[in-house]
Amino acid sequence: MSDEKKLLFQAKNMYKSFGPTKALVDVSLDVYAGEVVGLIGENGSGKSTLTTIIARIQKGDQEEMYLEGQPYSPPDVIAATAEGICMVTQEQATFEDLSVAANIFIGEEKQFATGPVVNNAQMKKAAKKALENIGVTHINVSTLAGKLVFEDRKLVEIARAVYADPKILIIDETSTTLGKRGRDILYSVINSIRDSGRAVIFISHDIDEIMEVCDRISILRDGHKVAEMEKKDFTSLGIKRQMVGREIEDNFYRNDYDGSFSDEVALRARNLALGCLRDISFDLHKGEILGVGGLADCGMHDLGRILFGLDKPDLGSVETGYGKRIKKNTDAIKNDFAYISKNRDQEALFSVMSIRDNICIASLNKLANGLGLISNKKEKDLVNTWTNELQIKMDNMNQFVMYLSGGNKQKVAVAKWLGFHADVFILDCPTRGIDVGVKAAIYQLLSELKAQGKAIIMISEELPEVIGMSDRILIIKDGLISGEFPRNPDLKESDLINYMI
Amino acid sequence: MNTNSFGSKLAGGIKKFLWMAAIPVILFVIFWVATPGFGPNSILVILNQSMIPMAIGYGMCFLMKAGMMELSAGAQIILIGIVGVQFSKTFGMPGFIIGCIVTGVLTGLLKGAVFALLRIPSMVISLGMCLILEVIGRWIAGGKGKMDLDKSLGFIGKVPYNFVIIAILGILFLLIFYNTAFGSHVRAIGNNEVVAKSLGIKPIKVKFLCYTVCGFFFGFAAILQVCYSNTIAAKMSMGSLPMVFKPMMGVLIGIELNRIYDNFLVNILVGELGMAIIFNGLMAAGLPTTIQDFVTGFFLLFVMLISANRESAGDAIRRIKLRRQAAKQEG
Ligand SMILES: Nc1ncnc2c1ncn2[C@@H]1O[C@H](COP(=O)(O)OP(=O)(O)OP(=O)(O)O)[C@@H](O)[C@H]1O
Ligand SMILES: [Mg+2]
Repeated sequence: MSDEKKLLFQAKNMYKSFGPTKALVDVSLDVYAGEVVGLIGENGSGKSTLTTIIARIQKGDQEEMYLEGQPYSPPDVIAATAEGICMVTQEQATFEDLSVAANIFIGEEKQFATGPVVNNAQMKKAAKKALENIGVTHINVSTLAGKLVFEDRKLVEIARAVYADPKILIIDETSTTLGKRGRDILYSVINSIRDSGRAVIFISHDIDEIMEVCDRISILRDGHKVAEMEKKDFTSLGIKRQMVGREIEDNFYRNDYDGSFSDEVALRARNLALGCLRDISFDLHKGEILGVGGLADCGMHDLGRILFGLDKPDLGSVETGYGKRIKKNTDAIKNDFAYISKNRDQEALFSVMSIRDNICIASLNKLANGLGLISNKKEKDLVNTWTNELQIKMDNMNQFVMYLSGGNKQKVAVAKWLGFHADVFILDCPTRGIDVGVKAAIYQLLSELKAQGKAIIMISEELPEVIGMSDRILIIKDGLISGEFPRNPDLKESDLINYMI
Repeated sequence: MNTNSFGSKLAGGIKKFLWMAAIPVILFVIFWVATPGFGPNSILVILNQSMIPMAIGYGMCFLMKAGMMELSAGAQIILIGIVGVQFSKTFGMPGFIIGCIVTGVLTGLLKGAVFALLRIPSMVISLGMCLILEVIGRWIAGGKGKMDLDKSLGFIGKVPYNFVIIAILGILFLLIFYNTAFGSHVRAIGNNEVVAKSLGIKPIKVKFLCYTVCGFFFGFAAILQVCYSNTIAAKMSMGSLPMVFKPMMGVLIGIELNRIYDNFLVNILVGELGMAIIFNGLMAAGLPTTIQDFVTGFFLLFVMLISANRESAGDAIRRIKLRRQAAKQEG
């Protein structure tokens, strides 16, 4: 059967280094017509490096590529698009000051231009079509992209990539930025490309998703290709073993079903209303992991911002267990709250600052001595502890965060707040883009934090994670809490989805 | 439903435009009421005074939106004016106009080329170029360091022709900024250069073009500048720097106002007019000229304050209403 498949794209003996880091060492990749190839590996294993070279966002140190049998080496992204390879990148790639339409056709404005003058009306029409093309009708093409929610901005990027009608579409770690609706759209895009005899290169850290979506996978470890597998050979354990290079447990969530927590309240939310949130009340207890799930635009991400005092609710209040009102985020920090935003590039990290500065920034007050001076050693110890604990892959702690791989950036965002020794953790998609091995470590840490009596609220698009880790789950729908579930071994995703839609 | 949403969008746009237009009108009315010497007869003076900074501002807007600093505008405009006047001596009016525009584009190209070659921060370039262009201007002007335009030619940059020139520049600005690929690329680079690059936009090329387009606008600004008093004087040791601040202020205000209304043509106009009204109003009230800088600074801070807090003010009002409603329902 595999002999009959038509080879669509080939990359041979690819090399790429960044200073001392060998991101790719002699990696080859074949892509056949009508298939979805999964590319998986730990954070920093070279997936984005390989695919951005193929999409011509950067160039390899050594590269040899063929598209439909012809040598392929376009000088830049625009030329690559013209040859038929497009990519949806891991990082956010829309411009907030430009309209949705201008974002979709950035770099491709010529098709609407007479001379240098672009016909905006025509462009908007085409943008509308581009969105409808992937089944999106709820986004207004004249809005500035900065006014859209996170998921919609990613959908705009998908529409941009698909509109060029690529022979090969590369999707780098995109599903975790999408909620259920967005994922359904993504999967139908993938299916229609595969069914029309073209191909998709798909990157994800969700092994179940990979096994579902892909026909074949290539596994990278530390810049080397270590294995290839056909769909019939997929097993979750086998894939993980190849990725990490050692056995790891299949079930990395908590394995207790105790679900108990203290009666003492750590955070009290009362009648919160803002935007689409209408009336949200709950108590978060010490030693509790409270999962919050729902569709991407149900308001659960706004809830995180409200609880941390970043957004002011129209109605209602947030209080600590002692009845102190949280009105601003400085109140939250003073009361030892920690918050990890889903939007890591804009809200959680300083990308042109070092890893060290990013991790220490929240804890500077705690690191200072009586005179307000910060000890170098304490700072380094803090950074070393957390970079080891979360296995952050980096050259050294003074490297800028912008040069880390996507998952390693997320680890820095997580490390910042774990190092802060908070009492209340508000985590919005904390494991977004993090590989299975480190995910397990983070879940382990969350269990330890629970055991220490810390209160944790985990907002997540990943239902298995919510079910696997929470003592109690709240599902939000239409701005209200539509369901509450205690920890229970029999709880299934479909039980929750029923309350989401 | 489609036409309906289009209609409501249009209405929304008009509403925002009226908000913008209200700023200079309100300022004007305040001074009219408060100051005896100030009234409708000041309008022409105000408009007339705003034209030069506006022409410079529209040019600078491209550079500033692409995230670059520009301090050599004054030196560049003086040099353009001097060359233009020089040409007018042999070729009359066509020599003056074409001389200014061509020199504008050429000096823009020069600055762009220096930027593209050296790839150092635009702030450093603008200071270096400021000194260099000043010296070249002084050198061409020769003797007294001052060039006079023939009295018969000066009308072209005076009322009403200066309004015509600004109208043309405004339309060009709108077209280039909002209706060309270049315009979107400028904004994209200002937003996030790394992402722009990853989408195949070439930042250096776009910035080079920014300098060139900006030079073209400066050509017209130089025509207005020379005609304002029929003379242009070379400046040395960064003496041209103060010329930059007013237009730059206008653009900064424009960028702030852009959070409310996405139309830089209108926003920069509002910024420049607003400053001119306050300045003339205070003059009429008998305050000394030295107050000018104070006022410009104050107006800038004031606009920033309003636009930065506009959303929270709106939110606060909505919150209060909602809380009242909720209290009523309970009560
Ligand atoms: N521009 C850069 N400068 C320096 N190092 C880089 C740069 N880009 C990538 N790297 C390094 O190359 C390695 C591979 O990174 P890459 O982004 O390909 O990983 P990845 O497999 O996509 O990981 P993730 O799952 O976290 O997205 C990492 O160690 C990363 O730190
Ligand atoms: Mg990556």
